[in-house]
Parts: sequence; structure tokens; C-alpha cells
Amino acid sequence: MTVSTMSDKAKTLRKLFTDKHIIGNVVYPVIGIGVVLLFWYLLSVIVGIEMILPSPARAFEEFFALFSESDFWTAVSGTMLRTLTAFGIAFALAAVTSTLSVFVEPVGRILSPIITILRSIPTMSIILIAIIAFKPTESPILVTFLISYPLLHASFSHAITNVDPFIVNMSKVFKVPVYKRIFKMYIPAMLPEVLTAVGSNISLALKVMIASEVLAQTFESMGVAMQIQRIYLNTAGLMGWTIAAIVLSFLLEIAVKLIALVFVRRK
Amino acid sequence: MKIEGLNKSFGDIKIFENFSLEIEERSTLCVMGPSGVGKSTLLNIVTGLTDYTGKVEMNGEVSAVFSEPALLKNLNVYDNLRYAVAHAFPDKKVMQSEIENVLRSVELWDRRKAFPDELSSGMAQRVALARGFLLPSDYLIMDEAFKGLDTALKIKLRGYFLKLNAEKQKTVIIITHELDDALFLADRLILLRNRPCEVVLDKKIYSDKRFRTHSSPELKRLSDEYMQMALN
Repeated sequence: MTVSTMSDKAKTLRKLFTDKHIIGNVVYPVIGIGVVLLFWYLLSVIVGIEMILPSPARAFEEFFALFSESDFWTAVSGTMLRTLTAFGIAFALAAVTSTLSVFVEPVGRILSPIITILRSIPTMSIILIAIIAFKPTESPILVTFLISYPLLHASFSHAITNVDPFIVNMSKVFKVPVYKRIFKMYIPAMLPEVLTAVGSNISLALKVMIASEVLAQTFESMGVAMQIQRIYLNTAGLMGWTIAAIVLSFLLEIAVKLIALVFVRRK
Repeated sequence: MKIEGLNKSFGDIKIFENFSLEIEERSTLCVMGPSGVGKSTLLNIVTGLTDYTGKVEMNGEVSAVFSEPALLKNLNVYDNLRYAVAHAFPDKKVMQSEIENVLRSVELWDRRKAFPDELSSGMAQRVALARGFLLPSDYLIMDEAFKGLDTALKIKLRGYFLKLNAEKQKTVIIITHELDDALFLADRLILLRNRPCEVVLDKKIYSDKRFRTHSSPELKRLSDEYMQMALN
């Protein structure tokens, strides 16, 4: 009598749908994306006019067609370079000002209303003022910086004050040298919260950059590329560029998560 | 250690007013009192964590064991100890030997590569205790170091404390709510009360710490006297 055994493929499939890790990190997100695409498809069928709402298939067709265009890569690299420049400056300044705010009380009190004002100014106001005063390649950087900086400052300040006070006091009592407290205590303790803030804010920075490029008419940028598609009423093309922006945002977040994997110890 | 004319207020609340206290070298003083009386403030003053007016005379460095282990999550046990004391040991080989000694004393040498999240609360507090004795300090402050631990674990940790202090001979100040900590670890017990804070009970304990039991007459007498003062 022969005993039938499950084939390797069947075993793999079964594992795919029963392993909790795979279900949580792959299956559910794929289902979520599937729901969005299905909803989009149904809406496009209901609307019925490609110029207003193209189907997902048309949008992805336009997206994949972008890869063979040299303008696409020029625009993407230009936008990414400007985004990373603005975000990098915001990050560096936020690291300095948040540290000063926490440890030097008068600095904290002076900065507090400034940060609140910067956080409250409507993004569009900043963009419209900046495009008058600055060049088309500069104003998006300024705008992205002004949006990112207050958010990063607030996150970093919170991360510093959240360091375990018992560990802070222990370091003081044991007279641990300051440089050691910074590199072995503060930075490792702050890293998870800082990287979370960076991950969420870098996507926002990219969105703001693209919006600013549209209004500033920045040459060789994703914003202007989207604007051109809109002018020619090529909504499918516009959606293709939008998918590109979403993929870039996703890649930036993955990059931050990879940095976290390397530098943050997991249980 | 000599505290003279100590004054400390938080806003309008006077915690200490012209407070004085003298602690014999190499003795263990237990400080007890109701919550909010100023025990932790006294420790913060001695460890330099808070400002004050008055005189605090000490001839040496201070180390501490807190109610939380205060271990850095990104460093293993060995590196946690190294983080706290490396600057105090010019000779690295001596430091390594001292770390090994103190970890063996608390029976955690085998766990030296473990991270804090891999340790039980009792083990983590043992590491904190080891760290307190590792620093070449003359004074050790223990701020509710055995708080929240079960009785068996407390007894074990008290054993480690006695073992380490027999070797290191530090001047120790223990803040605790547990009378047993005083009865089994201290050479002297003081009870703080009132506002501003004052010493309402000050008793020496003469019996050998190694042989103290609840049934010993001296401890029974002290326990009764303490309970009477504390409940009054």
C-alpha cells in the first residue's frame, strides 16, 4: 500500500497561508492593495471616461512605459536629490535645535513659538511666497525644509526627553563621560523613535517637493512632468507618474527600515 | 559623611530646614519614612542630582543602585558594567578582572553576554547591584533597590549585598520602605518624619548581620519601637 504525501509545492502553499509571519507581513498587505485596485477599477468603469479616471491597467501601462524614457530618470533623480537635500538640512538642524531646546531651557522657550508657527503655516502659503522670492530649483527645497524641520524637531525633542530617566541619572551619578553618554546612551535610545519619525516624514517631504515643483515650474522634475500630463489631459500618464511617486515613497521608507534593521537591536 | 545645615525647598514646600546628619565611615545606614518626607530628595542631594544650600562633606566618589535596574538596552551585561565604570579604571586589565569578580559574586558571569531584555527582573537588579559595588567609590546609595521583588528574591539579593559589602567595605545609605531591609542590612536605622523633615528615631543595630533572625531580641525590640513611631 502506498502512502500519499503532499508535494513540495503543496507544502509551500500551505505554509504561505498558515505561517503567521507571512500572513501578517505579506498576505494581508497584498489583500489591502488588491482591495484598493479593485475599488479603483470599479470606479473607473462607473465613470467610464479615461480622461477623468483611467483604469488601473492603463495607469500601470503608462507607469511601465516611463522606464524607457530618459526624461523620467532625469526628473526622478532631480526630485529625489532636492528632497534628500531639503530633508538632510532639516534633519541636521532639528538634531541641533532639539538638543539645545531640551538641555538649555531659554533656547527651548525661544524656539517653541517659532516651531509652532512653522508647523501651522499652510503649505500652500509657504510655496506661493517662496516661488516669488527664490529660483525654481531653490524654492521647492526651502518649502520642503520648512515643512519637514518642525516635525523632525518635535520628534527629536520627544525622543531625547523619552530616554529612561533612571539611565540618565545613573550616568550622571557614575560620572560617565559626556561623549559616552551621547554615543552609547542617548543616540541608541533615541534611534528607534528618530527612525520612525524619519520614515514617516521623508514620504511627506517627497509629496511636498512634488507639489512645490508644480507651482515653481522646476525644470526636470517629477512635479513639472505631472503638470505636463495634466496640460495634455493625459490622466493615465499623470496616474503613471503618481504610481512612480508612490513607489519612490515606498522605497524611501524601506531604506529607513533597513537602516533600523542594521542599527537598532531587535529582541 | 557629614550633612550640616541642609536646606531644600520645592516651591513653598520646605523639605529640609537646617537638617544635619552624620554617617560613620564604612557603616550601613538605613533611612525610612513615609512617602514624600524627603528620603529620595536626600539621596538626590548626596548624589549631586539636585541643588541645595548647606554643607555635604564627603571624602570620595558615590555610586548608586536605583529602584529600576537602569540598564542600557543596546548593551549586554558586561558592556553595561563597562559603560558605567571604564573611565574609573586606567588599567583595562584590572577593570576586566573586577568586572569578572563582581559578576561571579552575584552569580551572573555566565550571563555576561545576555542583553537586559533576556534577563529576569531579579537578574537585572543583580547586575545593578554589581555595578554599584564595581565602581571604585567610597559611598553607595541604594534607593529602594529591592522594590517590587518577591520575598525570596529580596532575601537572595540581600545576601549578595552582604557578600559584596564585606569585600568592598563601602559607606552605604539605603532608602527603603521595608523594615526587613533595615533589620538585616543596616548598622543604623533612622526614621524621618514631619515637614520640614526631621529624624524622629535613630537606632544602632549591634548584632552581627550574618546571624540576624526575626526572633533575635534586639531586632524584635527595634521592630516594635519602629512600628510604634511609624504608626503614631
